[in-house]
Amino acid sequence: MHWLSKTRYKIGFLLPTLVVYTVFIIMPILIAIGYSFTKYSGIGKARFNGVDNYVRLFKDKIFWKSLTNTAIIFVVASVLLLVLSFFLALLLNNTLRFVDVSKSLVFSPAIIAPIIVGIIWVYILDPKIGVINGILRAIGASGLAQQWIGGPTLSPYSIAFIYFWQQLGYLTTIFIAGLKMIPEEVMEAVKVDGANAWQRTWHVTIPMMRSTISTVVILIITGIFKIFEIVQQTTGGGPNHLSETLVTYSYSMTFQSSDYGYGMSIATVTFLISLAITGLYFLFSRERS
Amino acid sequence: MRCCYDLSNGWRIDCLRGGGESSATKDDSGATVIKFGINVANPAKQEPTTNAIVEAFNKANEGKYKVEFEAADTESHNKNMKMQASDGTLPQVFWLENSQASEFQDADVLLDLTDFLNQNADVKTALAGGDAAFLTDKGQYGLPYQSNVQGIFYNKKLFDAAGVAYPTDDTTFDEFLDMIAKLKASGVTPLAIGSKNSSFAMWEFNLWLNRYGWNDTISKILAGDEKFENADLTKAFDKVQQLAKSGALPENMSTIEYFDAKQQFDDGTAAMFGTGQWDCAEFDKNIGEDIGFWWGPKFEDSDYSQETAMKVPSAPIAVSATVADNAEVKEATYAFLKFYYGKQAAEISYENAMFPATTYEGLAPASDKHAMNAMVEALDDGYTSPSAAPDQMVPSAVQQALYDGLFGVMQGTYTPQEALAKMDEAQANQ
Amino acid sequence: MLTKRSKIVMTIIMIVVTILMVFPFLWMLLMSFKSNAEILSHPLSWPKALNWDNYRNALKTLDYPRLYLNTFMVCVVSLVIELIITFLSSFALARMTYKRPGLQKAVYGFLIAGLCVSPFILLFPVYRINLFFGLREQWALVFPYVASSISFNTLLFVGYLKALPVEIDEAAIIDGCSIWDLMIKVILPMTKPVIATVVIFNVLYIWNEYPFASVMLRSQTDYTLSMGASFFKGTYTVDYGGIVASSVMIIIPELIFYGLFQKKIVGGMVAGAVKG
Repeated sequence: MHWLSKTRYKIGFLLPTLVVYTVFIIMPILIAIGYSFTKYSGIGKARFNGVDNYVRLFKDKIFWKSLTNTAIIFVVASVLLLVLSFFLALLLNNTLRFVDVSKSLVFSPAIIAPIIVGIIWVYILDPKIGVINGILRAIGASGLAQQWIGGPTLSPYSIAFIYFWQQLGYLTTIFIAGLKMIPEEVMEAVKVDGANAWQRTWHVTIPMMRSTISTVVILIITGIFKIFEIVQQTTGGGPNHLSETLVTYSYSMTFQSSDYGYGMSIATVTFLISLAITGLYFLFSRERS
Repeated sequence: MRCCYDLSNGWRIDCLRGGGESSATKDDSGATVIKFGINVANPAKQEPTTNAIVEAFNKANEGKYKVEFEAADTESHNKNMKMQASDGTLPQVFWLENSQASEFQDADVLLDLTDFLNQNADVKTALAGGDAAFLTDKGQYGLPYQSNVQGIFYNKKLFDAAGVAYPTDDTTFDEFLDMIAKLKASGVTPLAIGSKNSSFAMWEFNLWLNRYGWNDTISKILAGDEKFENADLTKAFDKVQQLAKSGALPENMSTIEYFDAKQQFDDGTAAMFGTGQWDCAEFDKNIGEDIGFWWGPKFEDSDYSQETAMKVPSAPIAVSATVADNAEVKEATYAFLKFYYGKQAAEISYENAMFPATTYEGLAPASDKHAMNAMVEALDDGYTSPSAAPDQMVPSAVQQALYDGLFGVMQGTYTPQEALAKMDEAQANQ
Repeated sequence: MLTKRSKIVMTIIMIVVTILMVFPFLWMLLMSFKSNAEILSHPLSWPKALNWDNYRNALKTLDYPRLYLNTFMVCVVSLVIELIITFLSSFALARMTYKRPGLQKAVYGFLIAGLCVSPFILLFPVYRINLFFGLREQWALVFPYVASSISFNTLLFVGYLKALPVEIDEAAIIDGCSIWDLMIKVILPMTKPVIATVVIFNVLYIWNEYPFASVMLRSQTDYTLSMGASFFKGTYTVDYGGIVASSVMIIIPELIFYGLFQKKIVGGMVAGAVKG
């Protein structure tokens, strides 16, 4: 092993990736962070204004609202996604009739254009013309009809649910790939030992899929901090920024209000939060193993 | 030098060009090509008027000049123009979000068009002062793209069915509220409006702001000598609040877009819709001769003139400063502008139910353009219009705060005072 | 093996879940046969007749062969580059030994961090960087796409490669393999399932990517499929029928592609490899 790990191989293998990544991801991030300390409209000269943007952000109610919304979405969507995509993968990993078709179709939400996702879900959730409230009224439960979107409170939950719907197939696919890695001999051996399905899942499948699970968790964490189009298309952040997430608010400041510097300060904070949570997860999961 | 390397159908690698940056691009026929950056992706469908004018220009100048569109939806277009300004690759002529104009001017990327207007006195005359909206102490940074006429369209059939008289120039705000109550009782949505991703679609309220003195105070506010949160504008926002409380607006306005709201008006489920002349063709198709047009209510508690209309220059088209570097390009650009503001282009505009930025004798919409004729009728009352629409007079952040404020008040998330305070805050952050 | 009864129960659950998930997609198919006014005014109604106007209109508005070709080319070029470079770097991170494991972890963390970035933060800076390197047209997309895929690919590749038993390498070394033999002849074939996953996700990402495409491409002849929708939505007009029809035409190839590649994930190759 050691003799293969020559330094020149390592450098040679890592270098192309590191170069492309540094030039097209890290440098832009640093540039963006740099702009977060300026007053800049996106054109002309940026004017350095120290931590002004961060001070403003701290006092900005809409920023805190976006942060709260993002947190709600995070809690709701991450739990739903992690648990249900795992079980769906277990289910679809069986040799059932039509299972391949089902895998493709379950994946379909992930590839529908965002604008269509918007149209569809608005027709489902809209308080006035939406299907859900329509059904509730039809069965005489109009008391349960809610402002699922467009109202002051429920939008983040609805967005979390739409995100769940959109990502489920995607994460299931990754879990299925992980399940395929468990050697069949292992499963057969445990079966011979008389373990039931639940015991097999808990004591064999989950431990053997540790790395897949951690992949999925990281994708969920980082994905939620990038939710953008769903919000844009279902509520547009409205009414009046009440359903804004960190990313959409940052976008609206950057491009709609032409306040590039301030927008980048929100983006920087978002990036750091997402990075911190991912980092914490890494530390936590390493301690456990 | 420009070296191209062809790789399976249109894959080109352009090497960095050395030196000849300012050489004019020519097409196969030797015509000088200039780019027109426009804020729609599909001009033939989404800006048919401009598309027709460009086609007419290209036809008239075959082998000499050629205008090509650089087309992208508004959001991408605005981003693109900013980025292209940073590297000197702006299209020669482009549509510019007016709230960003000062940013572009400060970056010195726009050509001063004073020279163009001096050379073309006829254009200056035809613009009839419309150019003034885009003149600052730094120069004439743009010319109006079109004329916008904004107000409230109404469906006469629905008014008749509800037994409500059509609104007139003398209809007061209280009468307007009565009208709304009766329309609502007849089972239609009185005034369709949608806020989702459409906060810009507040055109009918521009007149309200102006009838409460916006035009008179805005320069003081922008200079910091006065606040948005003043007695007059508070009254204006109060009226918006009363309108919302009267139940005039769709319940789900926060989840519908401008397009959905317009559809409600098109299919006869909403009685009124605030917009501009760009929707005329659509109304002709759906509502035909039942269409009426009204500026908006008269406010009796305002100290400012109520005899005002809203025929204003739309966003400007600007010219890139790089045009001056090359005589051929400059010649082609000027030729295009001259054509764009000429009588033939104005005729094309009327044919497509758009008001051109210019005024020429003897041009009027055809009799089957019902919506546009309704507007012409309203314009005949001779009311004065401000030099620009209120939402077009402020920088982007304030504009956004104005939009948020109006819809916030309509949706009950802001009081009028809060909305105006937000605008002051945005102004203070400038 | 599964009992017959549990198989039936599972199949039923599977069908229910699938229907729930696919319902919006079917709805979209229905919408594609309705006129724009019908979509807006009667969203839930059944289309009056099988009306192909939206498709005809979409085909007239957009040059689909060109869009497909452009998208396909960008996909292929980006994918080839990113698979090569990220496989190499992930191999180095997952299967080589380091004197300072801290360094190895740091590089890994560094590469994963990119997942936390929203693409639009990158737009302006990347535009300038492209300009600096003289990258234009589709090349202005290829490198941002490759770069955007690095974090994701590293996450998947390293996770997978680490899970392969060390014995494989040892056996290979005893057999006298060089590092290239080990990587290409031994490890690579065992990585098929994860490569298939990575290919699927990256192809779909590029197929649908809009922010970079809308900003970097200037000429219509270079446009990719994701730009299609903007041709039906202008400032003052929207043609939902056109958007839906063009989306269907974009999605169907994706679903077929996914279906084909999904089978590649089917494996159990690890088990076989350990024995061999």
